[in-house]
Amino acid sequence: MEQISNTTKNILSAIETQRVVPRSKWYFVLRNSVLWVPGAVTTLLGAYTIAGVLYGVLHIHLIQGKYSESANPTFMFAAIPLLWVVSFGLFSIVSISLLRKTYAGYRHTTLQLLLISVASSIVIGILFYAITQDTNDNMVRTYYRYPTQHQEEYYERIFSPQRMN
Amino acid sequence: MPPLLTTLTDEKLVIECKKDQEHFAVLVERYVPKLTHYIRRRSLATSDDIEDLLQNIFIKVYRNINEYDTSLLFSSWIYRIAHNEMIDWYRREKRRTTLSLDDEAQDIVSKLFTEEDHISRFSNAEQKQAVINAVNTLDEKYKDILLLRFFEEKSYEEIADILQIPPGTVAVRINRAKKQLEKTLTQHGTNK
Repeated sequence: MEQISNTTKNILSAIETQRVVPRSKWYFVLRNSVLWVPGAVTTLLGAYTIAGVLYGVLHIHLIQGKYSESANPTFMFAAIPLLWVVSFGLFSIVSISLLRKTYAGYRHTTLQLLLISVASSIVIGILFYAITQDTNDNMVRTYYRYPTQHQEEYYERIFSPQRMN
Repeated sequence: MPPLLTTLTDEKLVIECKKDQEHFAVLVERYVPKLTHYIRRRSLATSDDIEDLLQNIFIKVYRNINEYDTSLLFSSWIYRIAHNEMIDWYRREKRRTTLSLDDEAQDIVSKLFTEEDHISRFSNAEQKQAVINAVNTLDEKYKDILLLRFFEEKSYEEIADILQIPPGTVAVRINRAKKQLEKTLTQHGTNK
């Protein structure tokens, strides 16, 4: 039996008298998850923005067609990029303070974390765009009103342009 | 303490100490001398202060043992806790951090400088003391890095895990610390 030092004895006795018990693993899992939430929200907002921008660019004729009475995007579409900018600013601050406390966080510089967020937003945004294209078309049909007399021609022009030639 | 336990790795002991406190006693016994040395080098703490610091460190280790990620070295994790505990102690005591390297005066030059001309330049006792003084004038972040790299002999990866900074930053800081050290020594006329 090897002897343990007095310091070790004092430490073990302090743990016992103060009734120190290990915190549950779930406490740390939850805490680390909370630290990553702002980053995840920003990335998803960015993805949503990218999907919106892609849709806007590739379907510009839908929004600004000459048959359209209401060419302005809805408030929702206009507000998303602004939300992303604000969220991105907040994420920059959060990434410095909170993510530094996580195992994966401190191994990257702030710039790297921000670039990872933007790159993820672009990739997820493209996926969003590809997956939700039909829904977006329906949304545009619902939210943009067109004069009835041009509606049929309009839809023909947008959704079957080959027939217009 | 059963002799067999002392042959187990830190990581194995951590897993086992969740079930049996005897394994934790082995970890404590293993790290008390190392951390005592580290705290002594990093501060001017008295023996009583060191005892208190060690107690706080191991209580934190035990309380947060489930936070330990086995992808890290246990020594990096416990040094991180010790480092943070010392920062808190400095704040509580309202002291300026000072490295206590007097005991290492004989080796300090060979530890900090690898170039032969530097080693011969700082060979006498007076110049070694000037090197210690110059180290203590460095910024806090440089002191930490030099201590961990050259006195605790930690790798860049380990230092990154202890100080929670990217490994690239460790290399940059070591480089800057050495440059700042040379500049200070030149200004004080030691670098002849």
